[in-house]
Amino acid sequence: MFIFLVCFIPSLLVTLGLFIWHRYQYDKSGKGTNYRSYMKTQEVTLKEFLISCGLTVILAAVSLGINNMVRDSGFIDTKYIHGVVTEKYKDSVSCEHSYQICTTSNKTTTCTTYYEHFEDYDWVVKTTAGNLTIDRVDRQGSSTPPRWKSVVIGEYATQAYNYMNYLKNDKHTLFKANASGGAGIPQPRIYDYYRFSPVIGFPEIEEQVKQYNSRSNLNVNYVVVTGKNRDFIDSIVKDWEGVDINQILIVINLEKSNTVGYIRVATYANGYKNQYLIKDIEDSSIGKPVNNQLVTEHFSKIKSDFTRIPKDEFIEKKEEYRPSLGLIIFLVLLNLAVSIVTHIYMKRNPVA
Amino acid sequence: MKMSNIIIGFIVGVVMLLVVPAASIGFSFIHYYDTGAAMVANIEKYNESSMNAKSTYTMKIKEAAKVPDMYIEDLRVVISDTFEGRYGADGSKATFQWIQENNIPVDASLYTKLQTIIDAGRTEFQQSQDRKLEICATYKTLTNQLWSGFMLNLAGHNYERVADTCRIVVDTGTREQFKTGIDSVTEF
Repeated sequence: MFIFLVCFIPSLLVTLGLFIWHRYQYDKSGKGTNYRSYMKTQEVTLKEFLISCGLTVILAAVSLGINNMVRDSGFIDTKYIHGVVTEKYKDSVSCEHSYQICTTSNKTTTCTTYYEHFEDYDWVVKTTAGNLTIDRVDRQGSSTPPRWKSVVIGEYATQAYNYMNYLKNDKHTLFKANASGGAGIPQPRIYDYYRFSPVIGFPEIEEQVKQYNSRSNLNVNYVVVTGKNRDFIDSIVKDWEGVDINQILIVINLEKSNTVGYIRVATYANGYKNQYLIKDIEDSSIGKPVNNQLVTEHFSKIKSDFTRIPKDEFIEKKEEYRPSLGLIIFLVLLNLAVSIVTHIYMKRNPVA
Repeated sequence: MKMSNIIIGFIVGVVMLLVVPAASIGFSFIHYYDTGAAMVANIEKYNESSMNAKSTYTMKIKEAAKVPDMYIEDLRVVISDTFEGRYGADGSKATFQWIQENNIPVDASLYTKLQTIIDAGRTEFQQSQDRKLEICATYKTLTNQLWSGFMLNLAGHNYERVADTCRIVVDTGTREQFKTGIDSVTEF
């Protein structure tokens, strides 16, 4: 509301000031003088002034909206949902490629819009995680894209979704490590439209993890390293500490015999409400061989003990947002500039 | 007639300068009234959640170790003291000692399971305290800031109302250390 008032009051005062000053200049000029006749053509009427006043309210409301957008953009994060391809089809859509031809006769210009095709085609892949479209190989989409042809029904597919992560930019929270670990192992991302590798460093368990992820709405990620010390493992967890709301990160350091030497598990908000699951997986895994059986054990624990944190759990963080001085100055100047330009426009062009 | 346009314009401007800010202050009041109510409710919820963590983990230990019902109140006291850090960093030892004293059989696998439950419970209790601490800090900041503080006070929300609920559980040793600024002497 502060932003609304700080934008509204100065721009209304400027609008009012310009109107009074302009009317005063117009009224004090004598009848029949050149100045008066010049001014008369550029008069701002009372109706135009009222429109300007209404505009200042709208502008201040828009500024408040911009401020809220800037605030919310700081919270937007990405989570991954996994599924399987269920269907693929060619979809007819209205043509997106239009052009205009304008003709002028008797100082009147007439423009007609033409479309290149009757319809365009999208190459859609339907998955349980959401639908996606394969890029066209020609302008209309009439030729079958080879990538669409290679899509297999039943293969794993991942989609990215935005959500509001109120911890994302909180530098003071106790529920996120803010220091970077420096391990240099990046989080997996979607590649090739919908492909996603949830396992880093141990492909033998990837199929099992993908299968579970596709059925659970969770994003369980494994990072398996060999011969690293605890600090390195901890630094991976630190790097990924901003794990997503549906993500479970399991980092394992392998012993020589492919058994778990050291393990760290991380869930959203420093494991908030999931401590039992974390400790249970960590304590029960030490010394066991890393294989599908261990992964199945982990999934069984996740299924019974994982607590989903509601997306609005940390919503009070929104109240901590304060707009930067730069943004405030920008919005105030924007409001003033639009008010002045509107006044000048109305002075030169009769609007009402 | 022309002069009256200036007067009308002036009156419209002044009315807008009064009405629009008054309306926006009204919206702001509603926003902070609701925000304050929601935050106070959440502070109370997180306070309950701290107690709930103790209760949940007491029951987990009871089930895992098959503690007879007649000992449940004693177990509750030991778990509460362990989670609140009264026995220091190795607080779980006190729980195991209590289990041994009450002749409850514990084999190696149960020992590991109990250790997991106690460690998880302590961290969960600490996090529930941290959660309360965070929302209380946000609430305190809002009540101390110029605009939000004014609006929240106008709506009847002030920090003093929740100060007691916001107090976190700290063992007497830690409280004493913070009061005196002296850590306890480690004897070798």
